[in-house]
Amino acid sequence: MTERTADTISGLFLIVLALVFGVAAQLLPGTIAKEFAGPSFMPTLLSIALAICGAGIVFQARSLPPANRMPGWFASDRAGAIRIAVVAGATAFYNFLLEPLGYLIVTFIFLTFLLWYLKVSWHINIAISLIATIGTYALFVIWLKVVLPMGLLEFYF
Amino acid sequence: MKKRLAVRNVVCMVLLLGAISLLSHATALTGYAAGAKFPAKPILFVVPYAPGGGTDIMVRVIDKVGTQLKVLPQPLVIENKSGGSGVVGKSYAKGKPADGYTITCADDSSTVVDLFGNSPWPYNDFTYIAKLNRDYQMIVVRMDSPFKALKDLVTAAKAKANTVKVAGTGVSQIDVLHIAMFEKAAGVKFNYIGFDSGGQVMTNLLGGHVEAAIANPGEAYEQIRAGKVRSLGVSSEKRLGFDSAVFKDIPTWKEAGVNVSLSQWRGVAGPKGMAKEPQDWLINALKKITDSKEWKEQYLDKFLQVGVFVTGDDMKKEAEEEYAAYKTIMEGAGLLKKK
Amino acid sequence: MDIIQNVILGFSIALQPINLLYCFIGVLAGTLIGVLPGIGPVTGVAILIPITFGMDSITATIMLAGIYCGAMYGGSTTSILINVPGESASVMTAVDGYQMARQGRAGAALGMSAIGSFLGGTLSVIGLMLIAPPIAKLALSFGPPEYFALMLLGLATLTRLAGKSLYKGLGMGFLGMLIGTVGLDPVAGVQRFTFGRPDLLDGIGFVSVAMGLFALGEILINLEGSLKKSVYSEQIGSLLPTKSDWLACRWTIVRSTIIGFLIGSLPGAGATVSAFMAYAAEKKASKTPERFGNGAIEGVCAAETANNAATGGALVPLLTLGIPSSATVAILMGALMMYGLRPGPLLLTERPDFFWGVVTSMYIGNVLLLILNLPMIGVWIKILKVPYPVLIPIILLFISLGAYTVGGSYVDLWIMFVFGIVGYLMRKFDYPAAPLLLALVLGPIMEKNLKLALKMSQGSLVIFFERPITIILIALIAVSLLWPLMVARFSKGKKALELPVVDEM
Repeated sequence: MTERTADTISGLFLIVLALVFGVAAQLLPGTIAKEFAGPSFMPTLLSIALAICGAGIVFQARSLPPANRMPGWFASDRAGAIRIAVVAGATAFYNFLLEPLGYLIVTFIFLTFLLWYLKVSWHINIAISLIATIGTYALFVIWLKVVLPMGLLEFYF
Repeated sequence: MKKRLAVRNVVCMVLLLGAISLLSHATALTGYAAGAKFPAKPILFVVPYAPGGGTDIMVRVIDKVGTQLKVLPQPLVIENKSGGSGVVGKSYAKGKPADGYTITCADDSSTVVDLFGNSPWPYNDFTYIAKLNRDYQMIVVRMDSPFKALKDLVTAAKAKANTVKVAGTGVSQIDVLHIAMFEKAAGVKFNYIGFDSGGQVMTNLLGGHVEAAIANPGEAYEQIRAGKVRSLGVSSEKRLGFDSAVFKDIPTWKEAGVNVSLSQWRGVAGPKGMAKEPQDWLINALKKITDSKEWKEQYLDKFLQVGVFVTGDDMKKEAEEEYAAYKTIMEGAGLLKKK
Repeated sequence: MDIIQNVILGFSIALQPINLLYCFIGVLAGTLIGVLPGIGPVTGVAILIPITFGMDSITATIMLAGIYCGAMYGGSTTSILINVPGESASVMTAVDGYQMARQGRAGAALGMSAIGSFLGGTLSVIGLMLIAPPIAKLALSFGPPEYFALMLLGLATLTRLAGKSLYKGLGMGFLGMLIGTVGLDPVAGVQRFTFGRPDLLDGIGFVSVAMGLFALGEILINLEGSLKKSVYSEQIGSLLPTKSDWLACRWTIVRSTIIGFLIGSLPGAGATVSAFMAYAAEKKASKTPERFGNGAIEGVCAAETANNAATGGALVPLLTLGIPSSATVAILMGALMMYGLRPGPLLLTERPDFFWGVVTSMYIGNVLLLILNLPMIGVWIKILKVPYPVLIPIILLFISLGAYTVGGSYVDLWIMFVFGIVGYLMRKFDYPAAPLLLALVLGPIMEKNLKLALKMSQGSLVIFFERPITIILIALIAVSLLWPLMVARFSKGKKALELPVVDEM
C-alpha cells in the first residue's frame, strides 16, 4: 500500500470515528443542575477537533509522492496474517474462558496451545506451561493474596 | 541428553511445588472439622473500594481482631474490587452464591448511587447482616476565616445565593445530599465544589480556594488540632465524645441553629437470600468482634467512628427509611433524575 | 544548625540494624512486586501492609517507604525489556527503553533507569528535607484554575510528541481525550458512553490501554513476516551506560528531578503526569528531538528520574500538611493511622524521630536500590536471549494477568485486547501512541478542573486571568505553542538533522 492510500484511509476513519462520538455526545442527557459546561461540552469539542485532524491527514496525503510505499506492508504475507489471527483469537478465547474454566486450567491450555503453535518443542512446552501456570498461581494467589477466578476448581480452593 | 535431564529436573520441581501448594490448602481446610456447621471454609469479604480507604481499613481490622480473638477460625479472604462508587464490587459479590461464604460492605453509598441512577440493582437487594459504625459530618473553615460560627456562614450564604463555595468529596455522592439537607434546613444555597478525594478538599480549603468544606471528623481532626482549621459544627445529635480538647467545644448543627442531624454508616451484607444459619453465625461473630476492646482501640477510637450494632431486618428498615428521606431531599433540591 | 541535628537524628534511627534490615526487605520486595504486571506501588503497598502489623511504627513505615520506592523502580524493568508498562508511571520509560533494548542497548537503558531513579529519588529526598515548607505552600496555591492551566500546558506538549505528522499526533491526542471522557461526567455526574456498565463508570483503565497499545500491539506486529527473524539485536552491548550517554543525560537528570519533585508534590497530579511532563520537556530541550521514540537514552532517563523524584515530592504534603497527594500516599497514611500515628501538621514537631527517621531511610533505601539493581541488570537482560516464540505466550500471560489484577475485572481484559488491535493498526498506519496515552491521563484531570473552576467563578472565564500562577502557566503555554513557529522563521532553509531510522521493518 502506498503512503497516500494508507493516510487517506486512516484519516477518513478518524473522521467517521469523530462523527460517531459527536453524534453520541449530542444524545447525552442534559443535567438537572445548572452547569456552565455540560456533559456533552467536552466530547463535542473533541470530536470536532478530531474531525479536523482527520481532514488534515487526508488533505496532507494528497501532497505525498504517489510512489512512496508504506514501510512494513508486505505484498502478501498470508502466513503472518494467519499467525496474527490465531494469536489474537487465542487471547480472546482466554478472556472468554477465564471465568467459566478458572485461571489454572485456562492458563495451562493457553500456554500449551500457543507454544505448540509457535513450534516450540514439547519438552520445553510442557515445562514452561507448568512452571508459568503454577508459578504465577503461587506468586499471585498464595503469597500476594490476589483473588483470581478459579472456575471449575472453585470447590477445591 | 543433558538438556533432557534438565527438563526432567524442572518438571519434578514444578510437581513438587504443586504438591506443596495443594498440601498447604489441604492443611488449611483441616482447621474446620469435617461435616461441621458453617463456616466450613474461609469467608470471602469483597471490599468494593480501593485498598487503604475507610471501608478497606474497617474490613482489615475486623479480620485482624476476629482472628486474634479466634472468632474467625481462619482469616478472611479480602478482595478489593473498586469502581463505580462501590457498585462494581457489590455486583461481583451479589453474583456469588448466598451461602454466607461471600460477604461485602453495606453502606449508604448503595442508596445514594441508586438515587442518582447509577446502580443496576435496587439499593436494598442484599441480605443485611449488621451495621457497625456511624460517621458524622462537620462544616469546617480555615482558622483565619471571617466565619466564626455557623450562623455567620448561613448569614453570608443567605445574603447572596450560590456565592459561598463549599468543598466536598465527589459528585453524585453522599456529600452532595448532605449539603442539600443542610441547605434545606438553613434555607440557603451554597456553591458546592466536588473534588475527587478528601485530601483535595482539605488542600483547597487550606489554600483558600473555597470558603468552607464538609468533612468527616477523622478527616479534619489533625487540622483542627494543629490550629489550621476550625469546625463550625457537627451533624450529630449530641456533641462528639472523642478527644475532648478538640471536640468538646464543637456545637452540633442543631445547637448552632441549623435544625438537621445526619450521618453516614458502614456495615456488612451478603447476597440476597442467605439462609438463617450463616446469617446468624456472621451476626454473632461480628457482635463478638465489635464488643471487644481491641475493636474500640484499633478502629473506633483511631478513626473517630461511633460504634453501633443494628442487625438484619432492623438494619433493612433503617436503610429503607433513609432512602425515603434522601429521595424527598433530592426531589426538593431538583437533583432526582426523571425516570 | 537545626537541619544538621535533625539529619543526624534521622540517620541514627535509619541506621539501626533492624531498620536497615527492613528497609532492605522493603526495597527488595518492592522491586520484585514492581516487576509483576498490574501490581504497581499502590497495590504493592496495600498487599504488604498486613505484614507490617506488630512491628514498631517507625520500622513499619520505613519498610513501606522502601516498598514504595522499590515498586516505582521495578516497573521500568518490564517496560524496557518487553514493552510492558506494568504501572502507569513507567509508560514513558517503555517508549524509548524498549527501542533501546531492541538495538542491543538494554543494559544501558536499565543502568540509566537505575541511576536516574537513584539520583531523582535522592535529590527529591534532599528537597524534602530542605524546602518542604515552601513547596507545601506552593502546592496549596494550586486550586482548580491552576490545575486546569497546568494540564493545558501538559497537553500543549502534544505538539512536541507528535512525531512526523502534526495532524496524526494531535489526532491521537484528541482521540485519547475522547476515550478519557468515558465514565461519569466529573461535575454533573451523568454517565457518558458507558453502555450502562458499572465497571466503566470510572473510565477506561489507563494501564490496560497502555499494555494493549504497547505490548500486545508489538507482539502482533512481530508475528508478521518470518518468525525466524530476531526481534532483539543479536549482540548485547555494555551493561552500563557509556560515557556519551552520561554526557547526554547530565542536564536531563537535573531538569527531570525538579519537574518530578514539583509535580509530585501537587495533590492529584502524581508520578505519571510528572514522567510525561519531564519526557516532553526533555524532547523540547533536545537538539535532536527526532531521536525520541527511537531509543533516546535521555527519554528513559527523564521518565525514570521524574517518576522517582515524584515519590519524594508526594511525601511533602503528607508530612507537612497531613494531606495525602496520591493514591499510594493515601494508603501509606492509612497505614500510619493503623500504627497509631496521626499524620498531620503536628507530626513534624510531635514526632521528629519519626519524620526524620523515615526521610533518611528513604535516602538509604535509594542507595540500597542502586546496589541491589545494578548487579541485577546482567540477570534481566538474559531474558532477551530467550527465543521470541517462547517469549510471546509468556508476555501474553503476563499482560492478561496484569490487566485483570489492576482492575479485577474482565472489562480490563477486553480493553487490553481491543487496544492491542488498535495498537497494531496504529503501527501499520504509522500513528504515534504516546500522545494518545498522555491525553488519556491529562484529559480527564483537565476537564474536571475546567468545570470546577467555572463552577467556582459561576461561569466567568476571568478566573483564569486574575490569579498569578494561572497567568504564568498560560504565558508558558503561549510560548510553547508559538516557539516552534518562531524557530522555524529564524532557521528557515536549514534542514533538521536527519538521523537514520534504526530497524525499520
